[in-house]
Amino acid sequence: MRSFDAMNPAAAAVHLLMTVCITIFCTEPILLTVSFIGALVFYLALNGSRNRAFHIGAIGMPTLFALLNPLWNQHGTTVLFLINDRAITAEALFFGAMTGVRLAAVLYWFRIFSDLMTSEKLFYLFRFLSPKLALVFTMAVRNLTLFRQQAQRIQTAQKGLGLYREDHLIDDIRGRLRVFSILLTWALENGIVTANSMAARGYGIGKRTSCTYFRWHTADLLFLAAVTGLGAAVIAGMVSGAGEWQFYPVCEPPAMDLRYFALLIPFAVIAVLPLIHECREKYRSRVVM
Amino acid sequence: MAILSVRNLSVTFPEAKQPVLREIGFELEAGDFAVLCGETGCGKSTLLQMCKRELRPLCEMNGEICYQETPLDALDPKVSASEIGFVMQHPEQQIVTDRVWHELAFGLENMGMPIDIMHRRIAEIASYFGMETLLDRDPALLSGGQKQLLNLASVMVMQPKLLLLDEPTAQLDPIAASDFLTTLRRLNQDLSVTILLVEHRLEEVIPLANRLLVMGRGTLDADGEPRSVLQNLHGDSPVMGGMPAAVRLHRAVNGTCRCPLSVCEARRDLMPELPNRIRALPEPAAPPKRPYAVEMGGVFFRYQKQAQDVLRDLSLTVSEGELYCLLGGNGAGKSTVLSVLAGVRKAYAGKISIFGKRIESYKNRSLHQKCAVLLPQDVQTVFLCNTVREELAEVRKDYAELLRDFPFDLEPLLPQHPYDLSGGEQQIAALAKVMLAEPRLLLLDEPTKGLDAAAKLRLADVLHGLTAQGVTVLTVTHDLEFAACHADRCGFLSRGALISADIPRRFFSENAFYTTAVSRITRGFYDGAVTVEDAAELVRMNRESR
Repeated sequence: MRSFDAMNPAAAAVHLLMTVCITIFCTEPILLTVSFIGALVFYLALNGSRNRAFHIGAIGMPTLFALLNPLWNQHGTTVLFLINDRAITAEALFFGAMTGVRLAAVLYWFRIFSDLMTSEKLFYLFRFLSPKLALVFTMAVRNLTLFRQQAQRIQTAQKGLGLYREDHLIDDIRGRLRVFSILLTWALENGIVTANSMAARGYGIGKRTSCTYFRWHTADLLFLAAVTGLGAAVIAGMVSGAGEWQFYPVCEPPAMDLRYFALLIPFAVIAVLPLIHECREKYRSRVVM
Repeated sequence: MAILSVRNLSVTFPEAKQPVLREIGFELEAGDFAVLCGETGCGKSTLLQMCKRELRPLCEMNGEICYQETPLDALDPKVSASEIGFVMQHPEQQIVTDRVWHELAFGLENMGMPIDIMHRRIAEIASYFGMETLLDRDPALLSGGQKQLLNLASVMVMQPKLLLLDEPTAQLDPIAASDFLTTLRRLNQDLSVTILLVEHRLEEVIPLANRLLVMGRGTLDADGEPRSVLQNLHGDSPVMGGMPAAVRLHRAVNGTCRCPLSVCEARRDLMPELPNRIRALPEPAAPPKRPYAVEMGGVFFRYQKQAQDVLRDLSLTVSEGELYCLLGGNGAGKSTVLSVLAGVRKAYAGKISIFGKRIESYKNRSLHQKCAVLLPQDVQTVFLCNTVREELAEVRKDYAELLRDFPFDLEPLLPQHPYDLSGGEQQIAALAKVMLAEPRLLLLDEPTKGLDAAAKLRLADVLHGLTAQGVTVLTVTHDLEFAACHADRCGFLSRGALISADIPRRFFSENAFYTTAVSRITRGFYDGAVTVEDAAELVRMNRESR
């Protein structure tokens, strides 16, 4: 088994999107918490303690919503205390916290998605839609980089010439506009050379194939099957109304029956699958070394 | 069977009165390494493009171009795209995708090749070019030389039999250019790939070639084995300036031996027949002592706190009105010196004075006004307008007045878009633009990059004209020949420190590796002959004294 990052991008993408969708549409607090913890621990496993600012923002989310929701929301019966004659209820506090947890979980999953899905992997995913679109995508990514580099070069050049003042706001804006306009000319000029280079290598003479180094391994297929199977179970459970909590006026969990666990357990497995992957990979590489 | 035959080719662009190419005919045999040269604007690039069907410009064409005796127009598109490869001048713009492996795959994808075969082809070519470790990189992060090798590799992966190259080394530094040419030679020798190479920097190319084609204005003036072509070439031919130093020296001293093509041949065949009783030119008079325009003492600089020092204990002085060339390898810190002097970056230790005043005391852009300007390496980044005239007028309305003494006639350039100018013209137009700020110190980064011999001479004239007006010029360059011919003083930068500085004659004759071709040819025969003119003058003095 390989680490989650080395997995076939289509399998990884299905997993991440499935998890995000379920997290967005579900209101079950335990499920949301599981999703949040799964995402947080997986993110930590991938990145270590880097990106502290992101952590602070994301983890602060539940607290923030827990504090804000009761200010607007007067539902609920368990009054904790009064602020300016407004009742702050435990139910509203709890509901706010859960909304925050959901948001934080989604943020982490998305962050993981954008970290893992390099342009190469997105290119591979686009291939399923259209090879042409995939090529346009990779060219766009490249041109963005080039554009930024050239803009930087022009700025530096103009600075070295000392013809424009940076300390003068209007002059500065004018300068930037002019840099942008010459960048467009430059991009067109460049585009001609690139188009020539593409034509010279036979672009457009027939049906294209697209090269890729991603393959379907048995592990990928198993993973995909597991994720779709478990995901289907969770979604079926959600549609049938299992695990629906009542928040107002009194917080009341649903009956702890089989249906409820048939919702929670598959999702818990989905949420920790990447983590298990990652841990096994780390353990194995330690054994090898 | 000829692999490429061009018969009686004439080409006229729409709305042009004169044809760009007139009745050109030549044939290349499989395995030929042919070099095509000619002055800028003679139509050599057009000729090359005509030989690649996909790149043929819109034009009226007479005559015939055949690939393996099949007219280009009748070729199967796949054969035309894969068997005739084309590499262009600018390394960056030819790259299409954002991964090295994908760039190699691009042509194969266009052929509709199955993935398994693509993988094998890519693996093969990556190993041949030694770029396996680069496969997963973003091409934007490669060096210029690596980019150009990638362009060559992504053409070679389609297994072409004929390779057309349009000034592929013009934008590269000498080491990268050398690497590129070595690879071309390997392709030619190992795989018998036929090569047609357009170049104007011929020092290293001529010894590799077995065919030399020389173009005049739209005509093919000479075609044959390089030595015989060179022997019959007119001495004042515009391409002569780009020829190897051995050839120019042989011509300048009217050598009687067969024309040498390399330093080694010149030392063996030409030098023994030259008299050397007088071994050295008279010492030049020491220039009058003038105040320093630039004074750097113990300067340290690094780009990031944790990074290594790029400038370490650098001390450098440039006198007013001097043309100073700063030389050195890649990563020696040459460009950094310029950006520190231009105030773009700040040294963290050391003393820098410009015209006797500490650089810190130039406040509010006063450093740039009438003092120091930096012309960057990519000179296109200087331009922001649609014509050269607007470009000049936006700096100063009275540009015509100010540029009255500019040592170049700008009039023909004024109505043109700066991007449409040739490399040499762009360089001069940019110079004119920065001169409007009336700087007393000009900082130039690689001004001769991509220029042919004639354009370099023009640039040197402009620079000499400016120094005569009292402007100080500090230029960073890889071009040893240019420095030897035109600098007042040269400095050698290594690992962020100035190792030596002297007038070119002493500077280059004391170096054994990092020196001009003429210096390497005449070593041991003459002392301090570093340019063709030096050597020719010595030979003349010797012959007269007999």
